Amino acid sequence: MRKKTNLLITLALAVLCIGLLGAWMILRQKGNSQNLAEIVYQGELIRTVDLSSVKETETFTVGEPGAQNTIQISPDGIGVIEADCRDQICVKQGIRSHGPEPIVCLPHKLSIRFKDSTESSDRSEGTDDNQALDAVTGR
Amino acid sequence: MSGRSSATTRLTQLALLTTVALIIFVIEANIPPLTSVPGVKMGLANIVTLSVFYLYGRKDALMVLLTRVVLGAFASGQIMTLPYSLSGGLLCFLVCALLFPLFPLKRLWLLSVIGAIFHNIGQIGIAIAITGTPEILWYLPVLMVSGIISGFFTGHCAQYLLTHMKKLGRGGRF
Repeated sequence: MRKKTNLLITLALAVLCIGLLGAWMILRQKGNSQNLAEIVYQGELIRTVDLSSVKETETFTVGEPGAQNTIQISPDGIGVIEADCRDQICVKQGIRSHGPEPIVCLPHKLSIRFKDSTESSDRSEGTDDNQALDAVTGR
Repeated sequence: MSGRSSATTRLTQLALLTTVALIIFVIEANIPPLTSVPGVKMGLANIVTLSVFYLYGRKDALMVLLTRVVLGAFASGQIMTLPYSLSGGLLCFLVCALLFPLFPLKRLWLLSVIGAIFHNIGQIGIAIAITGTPEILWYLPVLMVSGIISGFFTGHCAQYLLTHMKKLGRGGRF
């Protein structure tokens, strides 16, 4: 009897897993029209990039040695190409140009999220904001 | 764990178990991550936490958990991830401590699954607070699936361990 209940619960959990993954994949499809990438470091928006207007590849670093990420912006998208953290999860997330889920580096409190130019509210100038970036890296 | 076990015996046993958990944690931290989703882990050290939960009770489980999480962050060189593992671990512990009376040893694995899910919820919550990026919530469904799977296996490990210890007459209190 108990074996049966265990099996039932296990099956229910398996169904739940498949359901969650399925729903996630379907919902994900929605967000692929973004062209803005917002780089948020330690809770502050440090730079907004209009990915549709990027012509040249550019790399820059965020943070200080020991907690540093090298971000690359290219016509293909944006991504972290180097990080001096242990797990390298942000690097594995690759170069992306859209998607509802952000690129994150949790140990360094860095995230890159994608937005539509229409829904970006506070900063619509869209392009580089190097002053703000320097102010943060200089800390 | 016999009735006559003194406070010293208990302390020694718990210290030993914490060490075991710590070793498992450090070894696991050296395995490269399986996916590019942040927060996905096997959580093998929780086999020990769960066992302590059932063998010694909530209070001792909390102590073993906190010691392992804090020391583990230092030992594995991942101090920056301490807030995430701490909040996840604490939320998981709270939920497990509340639900513990409802789950006999036979259902330990299910408690483990529930705990793992709440661990991930706690992690995501603090990640959103720290990074200021609510979009991280998009990772929750994936993390929940990984939590269900890893909780399932760690829970079964602890359950088998405790069931066999009980057979050997070292069951402690269930």
